[in-house]
Amino acid sequence: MDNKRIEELKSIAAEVRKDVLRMVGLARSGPFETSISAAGLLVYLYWEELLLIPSEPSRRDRDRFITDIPAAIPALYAVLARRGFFEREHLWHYRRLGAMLQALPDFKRTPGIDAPCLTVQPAVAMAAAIAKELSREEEKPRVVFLTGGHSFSSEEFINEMKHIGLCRVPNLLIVIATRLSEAVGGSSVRTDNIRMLSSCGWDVRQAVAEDLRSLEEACNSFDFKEGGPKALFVSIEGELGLSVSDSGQSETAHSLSMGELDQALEELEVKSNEH
Amino acid sequence: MSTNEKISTFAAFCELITEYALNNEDFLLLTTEEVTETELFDRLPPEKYIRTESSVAGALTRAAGSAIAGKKTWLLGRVAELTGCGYAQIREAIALPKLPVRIAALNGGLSCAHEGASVQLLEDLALMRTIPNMNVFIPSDMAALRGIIERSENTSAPLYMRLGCTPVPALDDSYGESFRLGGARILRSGTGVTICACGIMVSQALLAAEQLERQNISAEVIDCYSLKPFPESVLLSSVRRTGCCVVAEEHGNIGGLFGAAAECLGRTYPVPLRCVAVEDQFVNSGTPEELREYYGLTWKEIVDASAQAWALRRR
Repeated sequence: MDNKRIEELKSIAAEVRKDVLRMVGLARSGPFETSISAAGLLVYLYWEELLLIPSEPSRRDRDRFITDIPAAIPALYAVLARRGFFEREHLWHYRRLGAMLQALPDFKRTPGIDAPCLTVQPAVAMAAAIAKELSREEEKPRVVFLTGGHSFSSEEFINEMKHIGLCRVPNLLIVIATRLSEAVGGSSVRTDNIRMLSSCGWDVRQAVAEDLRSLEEACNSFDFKEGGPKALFVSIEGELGLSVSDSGQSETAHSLSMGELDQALEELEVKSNEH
Repeated sequence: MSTNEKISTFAAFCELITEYALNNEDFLLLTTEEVTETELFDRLPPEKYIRTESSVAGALTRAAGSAIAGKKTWLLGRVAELTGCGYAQIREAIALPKLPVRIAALNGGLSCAHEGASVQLLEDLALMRTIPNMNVFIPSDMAALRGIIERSENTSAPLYMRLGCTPVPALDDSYGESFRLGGARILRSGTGVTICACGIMVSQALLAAEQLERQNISAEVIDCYSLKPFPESVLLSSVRRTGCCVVAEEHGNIGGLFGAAAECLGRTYPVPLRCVAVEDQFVNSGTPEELREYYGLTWKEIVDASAQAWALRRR
C-alpha cells in the first residue's frame, strides 16, 4: 500500500467520522465514540480487504462482514453508504420510525448487512456457522467478524472460541478491536488471550488500526484457503479526544445538541487537517 | 406402522426427520449437548448432522448462522434449556431477523417429570407464543408431526415444536393435502361441546368424548396442533354449533392453548369456556402418569369440565 493510498483511506475515514456525528446529531440519539474510533478499521476492511461488489450486495461469493458491537453500527452504516451500498441520504434518517437504518440493522432490508448484530452472546458462533457453510464452496468466501476486547470477559465467548478453534474453518477471520487505554494491564491480558487462542488452533496476528500497513501485512499473512480460523487483535490507539462524549453509554439516549454537533465537527476537521 | 402401535412424538421425530434429511439437499440438524440420544441419527451423513458441544446459547446462534447461510436448519434440544436458558438467543438471533430455524424441543410437558420443576418447563408454549414471528406447534401423533415437518418447508418464519416422550396412539392415519400450518384436525364431530386439545391431551379428549356420549353429550374433538398461527376459523365454526368449549393441554393454564382459545373466543364469539391444564404452580417430581393424575390432566377432568360448560352453553 503506497502513501497516496494511505492518505486516500484516511481521508475517507475522516469523512465517515463526520457522517457518524451528523447521523447521531440528527437522530438526537445513538452512540458515536466507538463508531468514530472504529471508522478507520472499517474503512480499511471495506476498501482494501473485503471482496464485494456494492451493486450486487447479495452475491453468493462475496465476503461477509458481521459485528456484535452495537455501538459501531453508525460507523458501519456510514461506511456502507460511502462504499455505495445505498444512498447517503438514508444516513440522515438513522433511528427514525420506518427508516431503513434502524438502531440495530435489519439485515434482510439493508443492502450490505450480511447478518444481524446480536447483543446476546455468543454471536461468534453465528459467524462461524456461516463461515463453515461457505467454506464448502469453491471460492471459499470469507467471513470477517468484528468484536471488542470486552468479549473475552464472557465465558460463553471464550468457550465458543475454543470450540471454533477445533473446527477447520479457514475462511473465518475474527477481528478483536481493543483500545490500548481500555484497561490497566491490557497488554498482558491480550498476551494471555493470544496464547489461549493459539493453543486452540487459531492462527493469530496483531496490528494497529491507525497503521494501515500493519493491517495489510497481517491480513496478507493469513492463508484463508487452508488451516484453522484466524484472529486479528487490532489496537485502536488514536483517541480523537473530542470535547463531547457519549460517556460509553452506547445504549442510552444521550443526544448531541446542535451546538455540540457543530463543535465536534469542527474538532474533527481540525484533527483530520493535522493528520 | 400400524394404527394401533403407540409411539412418542420424539421417537416419531427421529424417524421422520432422518427420512426428510436424506431427501433434502440443504438439510442440517443440530443437537444441543444435552441431547444424548445421538445414535438415533447415525444414518445421517456428517454434513447433515452436527452435535454441538457448545452451550445452548451457542447452539442457537449457530443455528441462526446456518439458516443465514441457506441451510434448512433444525435444532433439537431439551425444553428447559432451549426455552429457559436460550430465550434471549431465540428471540434476538432467530425470531427478530425472522430466520427459518426449526426448533424441536424434547421432554415437553410432564414427560421428564422425574427431574423436578427446574427442568420441567410447563410454560414453554406461552414463552414461545408471545415472541413475534415465531410459529408454535405441538403434534399429537406421527401424522400431525409428518405434516408439520413437510409443510414447514414452505414457511420462511421460525418454528417451535414441542415433542413428548410418552408413547401416544395414532389418531389419524393420513394428514392429506388439507393439512396446513395454522390448521387443526377435527377428529370427532359433535354438537354438544367443543373439546380443543393439543399434544398428549388429544387422546384423553377422545376418551372423554366417549364417556360424554354415554351421558348424551355429543362432543366435537379438535386436535389443535397449531398454536400459532391459531386456527381461529376451525374453532369458531365448531363453537357456533356447540355453544361452549373446553381446552385441554399439558401446560400451565396461562398463555398456552387455553390462552390462545380464550383470546380468540373472547374477541369474536364469547362462549362458556373451561380449561383442563396445570394451575399456576411449579410441578413436583414423579412419574409422568402419576403427575398427570395428580395435576388433573386426564379424560376424567375433561368430562367434568365439558359437563359444566355444556350446562352453561350458549344457545
